[in-house]
Amino acid sequence: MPTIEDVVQSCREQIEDSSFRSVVDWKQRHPGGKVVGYFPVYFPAEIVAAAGMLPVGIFGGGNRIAVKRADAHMYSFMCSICKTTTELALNGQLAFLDAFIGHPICDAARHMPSLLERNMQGLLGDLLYYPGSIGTPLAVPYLRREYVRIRQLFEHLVGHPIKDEDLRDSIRQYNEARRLTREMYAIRRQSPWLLTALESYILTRVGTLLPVQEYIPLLRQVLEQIPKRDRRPIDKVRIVYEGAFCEQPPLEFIQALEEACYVVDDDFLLGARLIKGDVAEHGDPLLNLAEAYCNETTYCSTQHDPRRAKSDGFLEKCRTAEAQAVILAPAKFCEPGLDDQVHFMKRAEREGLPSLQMEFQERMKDFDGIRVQTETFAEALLFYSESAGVSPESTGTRFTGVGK
Amino acid sequence: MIYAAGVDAGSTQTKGIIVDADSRIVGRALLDTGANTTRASERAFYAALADAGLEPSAVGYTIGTGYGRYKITFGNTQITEITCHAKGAHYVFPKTCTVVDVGGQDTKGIRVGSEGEVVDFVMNDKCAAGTGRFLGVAAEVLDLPLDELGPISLESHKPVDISSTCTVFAETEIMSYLAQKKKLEDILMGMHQAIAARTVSLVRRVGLNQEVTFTGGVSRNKGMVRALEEALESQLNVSDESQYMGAIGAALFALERALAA
Amino acid sequence: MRPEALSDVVKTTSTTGVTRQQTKAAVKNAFADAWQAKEKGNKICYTYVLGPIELLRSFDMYLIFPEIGAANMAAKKTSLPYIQKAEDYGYASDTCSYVTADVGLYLSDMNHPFGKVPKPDLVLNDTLCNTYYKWSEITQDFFSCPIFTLDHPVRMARKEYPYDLEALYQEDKRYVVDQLKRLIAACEELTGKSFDLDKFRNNLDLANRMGALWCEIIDKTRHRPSPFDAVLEGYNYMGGATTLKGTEAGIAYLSAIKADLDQRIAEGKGAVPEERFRLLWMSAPCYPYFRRIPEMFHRSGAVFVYTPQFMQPTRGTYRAQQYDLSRPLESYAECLMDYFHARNPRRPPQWSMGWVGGGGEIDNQIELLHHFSADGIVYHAIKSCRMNSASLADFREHVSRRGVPILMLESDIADPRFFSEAQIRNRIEAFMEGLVEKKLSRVAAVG
Repeated sequence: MPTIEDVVQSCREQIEDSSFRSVVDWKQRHPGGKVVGYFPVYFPAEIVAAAGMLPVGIFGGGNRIAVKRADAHMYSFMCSICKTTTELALNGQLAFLDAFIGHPICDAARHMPSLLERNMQGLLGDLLYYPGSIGTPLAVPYLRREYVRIRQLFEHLVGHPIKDEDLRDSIRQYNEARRLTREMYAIRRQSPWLLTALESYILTRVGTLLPVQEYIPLLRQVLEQIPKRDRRPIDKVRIVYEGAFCEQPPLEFIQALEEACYVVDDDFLLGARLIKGDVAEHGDPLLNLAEAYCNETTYCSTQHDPRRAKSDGFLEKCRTAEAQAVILAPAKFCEPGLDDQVHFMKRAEREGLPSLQMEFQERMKDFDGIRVQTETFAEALLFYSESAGVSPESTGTRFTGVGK
Repeated sequence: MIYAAGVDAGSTQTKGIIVDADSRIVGRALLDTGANTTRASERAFYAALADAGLEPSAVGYTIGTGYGRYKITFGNTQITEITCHAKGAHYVFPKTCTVVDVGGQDTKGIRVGSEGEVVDFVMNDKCAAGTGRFLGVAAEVLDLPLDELGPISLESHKPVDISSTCTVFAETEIMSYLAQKKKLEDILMGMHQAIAARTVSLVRRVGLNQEVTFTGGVSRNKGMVRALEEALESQLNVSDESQYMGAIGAALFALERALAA
Repeated sequence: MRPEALSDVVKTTSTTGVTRQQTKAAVKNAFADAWQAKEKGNKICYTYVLGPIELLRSFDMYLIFPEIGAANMAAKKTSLPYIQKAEDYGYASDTCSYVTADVGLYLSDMNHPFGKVPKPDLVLNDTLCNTYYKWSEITQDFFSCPIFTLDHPVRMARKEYPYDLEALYQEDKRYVVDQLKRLIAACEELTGKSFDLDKFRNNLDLANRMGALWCEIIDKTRHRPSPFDAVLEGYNYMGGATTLKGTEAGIAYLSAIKADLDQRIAEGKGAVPEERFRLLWMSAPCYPYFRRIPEMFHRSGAVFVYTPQFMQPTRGTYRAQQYDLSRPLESYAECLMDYFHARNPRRPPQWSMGWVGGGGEIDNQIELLHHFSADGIVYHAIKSCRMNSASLADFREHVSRRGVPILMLESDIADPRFFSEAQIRNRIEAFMEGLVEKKLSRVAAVG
C-alpha cells in the first residue's frame, strides 16, 4: 500500500501538470470520451459524470506558466486565473476540452466561455446561470430548469440521453466524495499535526481531475492511514483562511502559511465543499441538485442570499474550527473577494477576532513577503495575547498586512 | 552578568547589537551582507562582541531577524523584522506610536503599542511607487547618484506635481518636465512628495498617531524627511540609530528569554 | 429629481443649446428634491442605471442613482478623497471605483459635492453586472436596508441550439415576471401603497415616447458632420435620459435635445469644426478627465459617433415602441431581459459586450462600424470595470484582423490616479497618424 506521502506526491504531480496528461490519458483510454471543463466556484459535476464524460476543474496555469500570449487578449486589471486560463487555451493546452462551462460569479469570469470559444476552434462554451438570489421561492424551480437545459446541452455533446437513474447514481458517488473530504477537514480541525493544509489541499484538488470512481478509493486509502501517522502537535496559532474560493494560491503559499500557523479551516477549492451535507439521493435528481445549491450551501462570496449575512457563516466556521485568528487574503483583482474581505474584517473586529489582511496571486513566485507577514501576525498573537484575545493595550485587533 | 544579542541580516547590510541585563546597548556592529548571509551574520555577531569587549559565552540568548533571519543559524530563534523593528523603535523613541519604514524595496507601516508591541502593520512590497525604488527610477532617468537626490531636492521652491501611480508613467512625467526645462530640484522634490504621499496613504491604514518615527534606508534622505514631515504636518523622529532598530529589538527579545531561563 | 422643474427649465431655453449647464442644474437639484420627497413620506430607493425605474416610480419612490452620483463626483474632480476614505476603511483600489467613491460618500456623512444625500430605504440590484451584487451588499452593510435582486438570465448565442431557444426564452421571461411580481409586493409593503397599474402603464407610455426620441437622437450622428460627439455630449444626454426615464420632463428634455440637434444639422454645424474622422467609443468614459480625451481626438478632426453605452436609456432593445401597454408586466420583463438573451439577434445599433458569444460579437462590431460610417474603434479599458473591459483586448485582436483600425486606451471611470495624460496623448496621436496615412494611401490608390 503506498504511503500518504507517496499518494500526495503523485497527486501533486498531477495537479502541477499544465499539460493535463492524466486527462489526455483518460481520453485515450476512453475513445470517443468527452471532457467538460468547468470554471470555479461551484459546478454540478454529477451531471457530466452521469453522461459518462469526465468533469475537469479549470483553475488556470498556476505559477508554472509564463504569460506570453494572453496579455494580447486580456487587459491588465484581470485576475490571474482568467489570464493563465486564457494562456493555456492559446497555447493549445486545453485542446482536450470538448466543452467549457463558466458562470457569472464575477464580471471577469462571465467573459470566459465566449472568450475561449472565440479562440478555441470547435469548443462548446456555456454560461451556467445560477439564480441571482438563492433565498427566494423562485430560485429552486429556476435552477432546476437551468440544470435541465445543461443536461440537454450535454446530451447533445455526448450523443445520448442522460438518464435520471444515472444522475442519482452519480449523486451518490459525489456525496461519498464530499463526505470523505469533510472527514479530511475534520481531522485538520481536530488534529492539524496529522494532516497539513498543503496535503489536504492537494488531495482535494486532485478530485477536480480524477473520475469520481477513482477519487473515492484514493481518499479512503489516505484517511485510513492518517491516524497511524507519527506526528506531534506543535505550539502554533490556529487560523482560518478566507479568500481563495476561486483563484487558487500556489502550493508554496500554503506551505509558507503553515510555517507560521495551523490552517485549521479554509475556503480553498470551495466548490468541492460548497454543498454542506448530502444531496438527496432519491426522487428528481436535478431538483435535488438545485435544492442543494439554493438551500444547503455554506456561505460564499459569489452567492447572494438575503436570508443570512455572510459574516455569520464565517464566524460560525471560525468557532467550529476553534480558530484564534483569521487570515483574510483574496486574490488580487478579485472583486467579490476583496469586497467581502472588508465585510469579514469589520465583523471580525467587532467580535474581537484578530485578523490579517493580505492578497495573493496564483502567479506569485516570491513568498518572503507572505512569510514575514504571517510570522509577524503569529508573533503578535503568541507574544502579546494571553489566550485567544489580544493585548489589553492595543485598541486594534486588525492587522492590515499588505498595502493595496 | 547576562547579555543578549540581536542580529539583523538585511538584504544589503547586517547589524549586530549586544545588550546587558539592564537593556543597555554595550556593543554594536554594521557591515555589508555580501553574498553569504550566514557568514555576514557571524561576523556581525563577533564584531559586536568585540565592540563590547565580551566573549561569545557571555551571551545567554541570540535572536536573528531581517530578510535573512533563517540564515542566522547560530541564533536560538528568529523573529520577523517587523516585530523587532517595533520593539527597537520603542526603545529609541519610547513615545512612538507609528513607525514608517521606507526601504529600497518595500515600505512598512507599524502601529506600536505601549510595550513596543506590534498592534497593526501594513506592508507594500509589490508596488514600487511608494518605495525607495521610485527614487532609483528618478536617479536613472536624471543620471544622478542616489545619495545626491535628497540634498538637491532641498533647494526646491516650486516642486512639480508627479501624479502617476506607476513608476513607468512617472518616468514619462519626469522626462516631460525635463523637456519643459523645469528645475532639477523642483522635479526631485516632486518625486519625494509623490513618495511621501503614497507612504502616508499606506501607513494611514494603521493610523498615523504621534509620535511618528521614520526609519529605513530612505530615512537618511533629508529631502524625503522634509517631504514626509510636510505631508504629515508634523515632526518626525529621525535618528542614526534607526538602522539598528531591528537588531536592538531582536536583542531585547533575546534578553527577555535569557532572563526567563 | 423634480420632473416639473426641469421641464420648466427646458421650455424656457432657446433651441440653440441644451447645454451641459442644464443637465448639471438638474442633477444638482436632485438631492434637494430627494429630501423634499422624503419629508412627504416617499421612500428613497438606490437603483443602478438599468433598474426598473418606471415601476419604482409608480410607487412614488424617489430614485437615487449611485453610479451617476459617483460619475458626477469624478467629473467635478472630487472623487479621489472619497475613494481614499473607502481605501482607508479597507476597500481595495482594484475594486470598482464607483463603489469606493460611493462608500467614501457613506463615510463622509453622506455629503456629496452636490449636497447631502439621503440614506436608502431600499437598494435595487438589477444584476447588469456582478459588481452590483457586492455594491448592494456593501450598501446594506452600512445602512441595514433591504436589497431586492432583479435577475435576468444571460443566454449565450449559438449557431445551433440543442435546446428549444424559444421555450427557454418564455421560461426565462416567466422567471422575470415572477420576480417583478415579488418586487411589486415588496414595494407595496415598503411604501404602504397599493400597486397602481395605471400609473405604471403611464410611466411605460412616457418611457416609450422617450425611447423613440432616444433612438432618433442617437441616429443623428449618422449625418455628416455629426451634430454631437457621442462621448462629450452623448453621455450628458444619457445621464438626463436615465434619471428622467418615464417622466414628462424626460420627454421635454429629449425633445429639446432633438430640436437642438436638428437645428445644428440644418445649419451644417458639426461637433468638431472640420470632421475628418468618425470613431466608435467602446466602454464608459474617464470621468475625472471627461473632456480631455475627446478633445484630444477633436484636435485631429475626429469625432465620436456612437458608444454602445447608448443602450442604457432603452435597455438596448431599440424597438421604437418597447412596452406593450396591453401586457405591461410581460413586456417590461421582455425589455429587462432582451439585451442579455440570445433569442433576439443583435442588429445595429445594438451591441454585444462580449459574453453573449456565438461569434456574433465580432460581426456585430463591424456592422456598427458600417452603420455609423466610422473609420475605427477606440476601446477604453477601465481598471474598475471588468464587465466592460475584460473582452476588449480579445476583441481588438479579432476585429483588427478584419482590417479595422483599433486604439486601446487604459484609464478609469472615477479614479483619477489611473490616467496618464502623456501616455494617452502619445497613443492617440499615433493612432490618428495611422488613420491619416490610411486615408492618404486610399486616396493615392484611387487617384
